Amino acid sequence: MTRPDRRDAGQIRALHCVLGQLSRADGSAQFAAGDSSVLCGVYGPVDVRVYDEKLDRAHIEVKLRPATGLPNTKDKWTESVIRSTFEREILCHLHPRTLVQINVQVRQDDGAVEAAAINAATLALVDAGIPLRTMVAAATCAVLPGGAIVVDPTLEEAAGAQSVHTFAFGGDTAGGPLHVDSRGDFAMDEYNACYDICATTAERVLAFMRSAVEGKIAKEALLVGAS
Amino acid sequence: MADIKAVLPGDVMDTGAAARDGAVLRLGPGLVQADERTSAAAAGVLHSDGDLWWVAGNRRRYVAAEGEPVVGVVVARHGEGYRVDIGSAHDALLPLLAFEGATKRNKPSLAIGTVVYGRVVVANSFMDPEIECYNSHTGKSEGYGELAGGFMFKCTLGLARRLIGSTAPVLAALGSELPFEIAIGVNGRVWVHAEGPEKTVLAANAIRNSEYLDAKQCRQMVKELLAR
Amino acid sequence: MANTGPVTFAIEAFKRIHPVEFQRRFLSQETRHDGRAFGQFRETHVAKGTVSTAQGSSTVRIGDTTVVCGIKAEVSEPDVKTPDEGYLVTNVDLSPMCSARFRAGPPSESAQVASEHVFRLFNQNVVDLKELCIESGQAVWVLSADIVCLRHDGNILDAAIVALMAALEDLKLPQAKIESGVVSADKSTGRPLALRRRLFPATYTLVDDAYLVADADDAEEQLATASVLVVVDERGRVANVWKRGAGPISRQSISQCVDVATGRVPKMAEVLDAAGGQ
Repeated sequence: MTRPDRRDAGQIRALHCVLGQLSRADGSAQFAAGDSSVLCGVYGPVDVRVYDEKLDRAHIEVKLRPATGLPNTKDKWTESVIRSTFEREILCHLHPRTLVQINVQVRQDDGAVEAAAINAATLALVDAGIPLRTMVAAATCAVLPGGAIVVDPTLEEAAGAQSVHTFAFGGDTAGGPLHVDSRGDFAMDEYNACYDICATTAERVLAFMRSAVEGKIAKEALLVGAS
Repeated sequence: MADIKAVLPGDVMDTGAAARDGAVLRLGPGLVQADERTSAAAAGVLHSDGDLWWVAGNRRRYVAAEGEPVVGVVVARHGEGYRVDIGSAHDALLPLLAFEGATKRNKPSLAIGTVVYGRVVVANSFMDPEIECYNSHTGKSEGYGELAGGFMFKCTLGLARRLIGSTAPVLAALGSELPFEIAIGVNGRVWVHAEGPEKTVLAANAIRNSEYLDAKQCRQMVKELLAR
Repeated sequence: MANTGPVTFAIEAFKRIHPVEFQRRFLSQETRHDGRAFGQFRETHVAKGTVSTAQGSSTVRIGDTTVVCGIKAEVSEPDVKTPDEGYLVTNVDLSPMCSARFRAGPPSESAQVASEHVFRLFNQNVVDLKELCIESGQAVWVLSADIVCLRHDGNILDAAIVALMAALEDLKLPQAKIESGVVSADKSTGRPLALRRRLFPATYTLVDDAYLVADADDAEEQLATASVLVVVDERGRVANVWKRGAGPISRQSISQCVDVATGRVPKMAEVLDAAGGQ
């Protein structure tokens, strides 16, 4: 089966990421899968509004700006998904009475943008040095009308799909999903197949993110060693 | 540095023989213990020194730790002290009497916006940090206090630590070319003061540019800046 | 029975002071504070046609959670990109009326998230927007579904989905004609809207990281660390699996939730059918 962009069904789009691109944010990352691109800037731990202050842990705030126009309820929904995904993975108890702010700017939306946003947030949090329990990676796949499952669907593929499935996993995919959003018209067999595909894909994304972060660490460590 | 061991959040740390011997391990920044397992919470290079283990990574946001020298800006004055912005989540408190030779009658009066060099004395996550501008054991300033004149700029915490650990080649390169004063806060704020604004800005720029340069490149960069 | 007074007071005080410990005492004994088993849902009551001024309406009660849904049909111009499709607009209103935890003012994040989620479930999946076309490129129906919570005792999303489903089944679209650019609708005659499928929701909530309970009430939701919403249709197909929250819910548990939700469909369908209408 060939897809509009000539990928195989199980092939993800080319991944690309840049760490620490924003000079004023505490941590930032750009994550792109094909034409879906997301920029994420993290501030934290910073001062928190009295209203949000929690005496035993950090407050997490997620702000998402769409590629065009003003944020609407759709973006609020995504914000809530990102926050609930990271709520436990960020070790909030280490920085009580503070705020960790995750700002996500969608640069271009060509499908699977929620997964890209989660991946970008992971990288930005790591870049900011916010203590994390584990790395988080997300992946999306879609079931097409014929029953074929394609991974990392484009906007066009997702629009025509029978169902779209997004999963987020912690560093160990066997530990159960952190976030699940499967919607459309599907049977549990399809759900399970998508689960397996997304788990494998998330592992690959994780490996990609790992090499990116390790590259940055090595670059800095070599300098310390050289001088 | 052949044994660079990069760790990422969630990596379970192999503490090797140390843990098997039942010895006590002391975990520094970037490491957490959960369910009998020690894992990394931040990305960086894993270091160990005896029973002490930590992860060194570069960050931009300062989290106050006791005993560390910081550069801050006075943002408010209260009855009992100043509030100083040291770049951490909460402003630090600087008591009015935490200066060399300060008494109730005779204490320095700092205007809002003054840059000060201090040492963190109280740092825990449940309280606002507290700094002081003298060594309370000896009563001497030991170089801490108001930083008059000069110029303060921000850099990454990693660069600040390298500068203060004198492993940064830029300071040597710069020092051989022009005289300047410097106060380095590990909170990623550096204050420099040289003869005239021109030289001060030059020194500041040289330090800011040096983050990813080695010794040779640093010397070259400083030369180019001076030649302009 | 003279000493029942102080004992009751003590339990009430305990519940308020140590809500977590209060719930744990029940949960560790394999039961819940309102006497339900872990997998037991509260009874769902549905009444259709409860708002006479709306084109379609319903009132749904799940335990003590009560929501009213009213659908207003209005005529509007279609989008240029989709000239033969109408619109569905959903709005979930969580006002201070239903619980002290909600504040007056613009919709809270939870209300917006609920609105958006309900919208995604029904738009095109249940409501065929082409059915809302009056005259292609000229006039289409806009269905504004307002889901108002009157009493909030947990599981608002299930209640909202059942309420919107019932209200859509109750909906009578007036016969509309377009003559020389003017749309006229005869309110006395109405046709029901053909729906693509019937959705039946079921929410499981993970309380205190350890106990997965069905249809949590407000007290249990306060201690929730995660929840999974499963929406299935009458053919046994799944429409949505949505896990939120950081707490661990295993893959197997989610599959079991789907099985239970599917098993509940005949009973829930009966409840919807028995709700009558105008």
